[in-house]
Amino acid sequence: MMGNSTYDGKHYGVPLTMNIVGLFANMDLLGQVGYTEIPGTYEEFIACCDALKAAGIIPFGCAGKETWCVTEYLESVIEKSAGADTLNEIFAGKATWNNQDVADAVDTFQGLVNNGYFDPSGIGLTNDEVKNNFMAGKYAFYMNGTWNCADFAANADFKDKVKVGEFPVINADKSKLGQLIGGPSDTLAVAASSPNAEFAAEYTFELGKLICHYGYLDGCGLPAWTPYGDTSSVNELTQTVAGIVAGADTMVLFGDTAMTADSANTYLSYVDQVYGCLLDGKQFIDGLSKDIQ
Amino acid sequence: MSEKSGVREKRKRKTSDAIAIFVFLLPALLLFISILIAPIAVSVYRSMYDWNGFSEGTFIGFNNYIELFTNGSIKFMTSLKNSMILAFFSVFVQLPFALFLALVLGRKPKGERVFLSIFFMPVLISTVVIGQLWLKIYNPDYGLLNRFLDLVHLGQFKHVWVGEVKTALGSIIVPTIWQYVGYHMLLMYAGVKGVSTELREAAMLDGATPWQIDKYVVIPIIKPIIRVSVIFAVTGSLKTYDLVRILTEGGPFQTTEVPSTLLENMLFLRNRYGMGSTISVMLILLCFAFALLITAAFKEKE
Repeated sequence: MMGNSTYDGKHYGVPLTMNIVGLFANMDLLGQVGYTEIPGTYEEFIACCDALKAAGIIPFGCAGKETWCVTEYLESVIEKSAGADTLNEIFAGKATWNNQDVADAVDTFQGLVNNGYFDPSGIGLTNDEVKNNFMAGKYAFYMNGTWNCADFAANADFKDKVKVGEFPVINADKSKLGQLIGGPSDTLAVAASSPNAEFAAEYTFELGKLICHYGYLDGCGLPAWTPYGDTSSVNELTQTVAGIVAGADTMVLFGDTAMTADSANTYLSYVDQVYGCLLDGKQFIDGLSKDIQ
Repeated sequence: MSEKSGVREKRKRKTSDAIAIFVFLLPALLLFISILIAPIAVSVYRSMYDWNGFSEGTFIGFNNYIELFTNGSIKFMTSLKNSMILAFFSVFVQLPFALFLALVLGRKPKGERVFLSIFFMPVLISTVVIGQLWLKIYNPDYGLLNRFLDLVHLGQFKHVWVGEVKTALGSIIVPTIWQYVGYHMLLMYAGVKGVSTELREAAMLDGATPWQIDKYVVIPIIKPIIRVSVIFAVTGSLKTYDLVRILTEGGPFQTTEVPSTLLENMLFLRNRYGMGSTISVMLILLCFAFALLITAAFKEKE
């Protein structure tokens, strides 16, 4: 849990909370095409998307106006195709983007786009608009951060329709269930130059734990610290996510969070172009290898 | 008084006049240098650095300028192309329409003041409000435009207006033209009103129709105002930012980026102040170049 805020063996921040990318499903819509659970394998998942499409239901909602929303889908596809270690190495700058598995995964993602699984009007919408559409029953699936659990659980009309699961494995030779996108990234830190830095750091640790605890109780995220007391009031969705995380094998931090500001925006630009099918997988890895040093 | 002392006196007066002019101009000159010249000079200097805005930068010569055209994630050429398209529509659609309105209103029709206020109203409204208003019109699900197309059974022409590559730039151009027509109209209207009644009456006595009067008398007289409008329209298109930011945020897929949205991206999202300075230098150069070109083109015509 501390890995994302550790540099050269030293901890520089107190994690507040953590989230992963979840595959949210509107079970009412899935029920219309004969599914009572989120499909567990990639083949079943694609068959489900085809069935939804045939029934006139849009499988995925994704906000094109906010490219980070596209990465929620793309990074999951890359991770479940090329493996979490590959993606971790690339995001950490320890390996180059010039990786054929990544190029193939990008082509797989584009296949989903070209198959018409994504709502075309999502390209011009913000994440809030897409989220509202999902809650209104416009899409069957919505891949996004698990911080949404609180909003979904708080909506009386929607909370019984929604389930959350893990994106299925695409290439079992390189990836497996339990490889997740996410992890703790929000931290509190104390400047070494501040007066009473030691005391402030001690207080920050306690504050971080409290924020984490109450954030978990409210369903805004998973605990980055061991929760205490009675946590039975946590909503079912968040508890399901906690179960998924409990069985996690590897976590890959969100790409635009893991990289420096410049690299992250270069990456987002290429993701945007992939979503628009202006670049294919090969051009994606070639461009990023050239432009991210 | 001898001729020699007269010349000396004249020279002395000239010198004291020159000093007086200099002293009176000095505050304006200082303001001009500190507000305009100095920031431009700093931008040029910073454009040669790899600088994140916080730590000390590294001198990299013209590398930022080269990267501007070679980095696949910095869509500078796309942004320039979009600005040029916007400038084209501003000059060849917006300004003729503004001129038409100014000429019509200049003939003192009934309700002249009312029409003037109506056409000028969009200029007074905040661009953020206009952007939000047009977003509601363009919304693919409940937007006025798609709803209207459904109503008149033209559903096949429905689009995700700000989300499709084919329609996004047009979706920015329409409100931009709509917003600033009133501004240019008012500039030209002031010019039209300044044309003396005697000239109009003389042309009428010679048998000229109202349109002939506009074409041969009014338009040539207000040419300097039209030139200013053209300069404002072109440089305004190069500097455009707000409506793009609200309507498309440079998307879809960065196809509606303009130099100013790129500039914002470099400065505030990427912490690349050196590259941001490079884009601003390019913008300044382009604005100056176009202003000079337009002035030269109008002089040529005269």
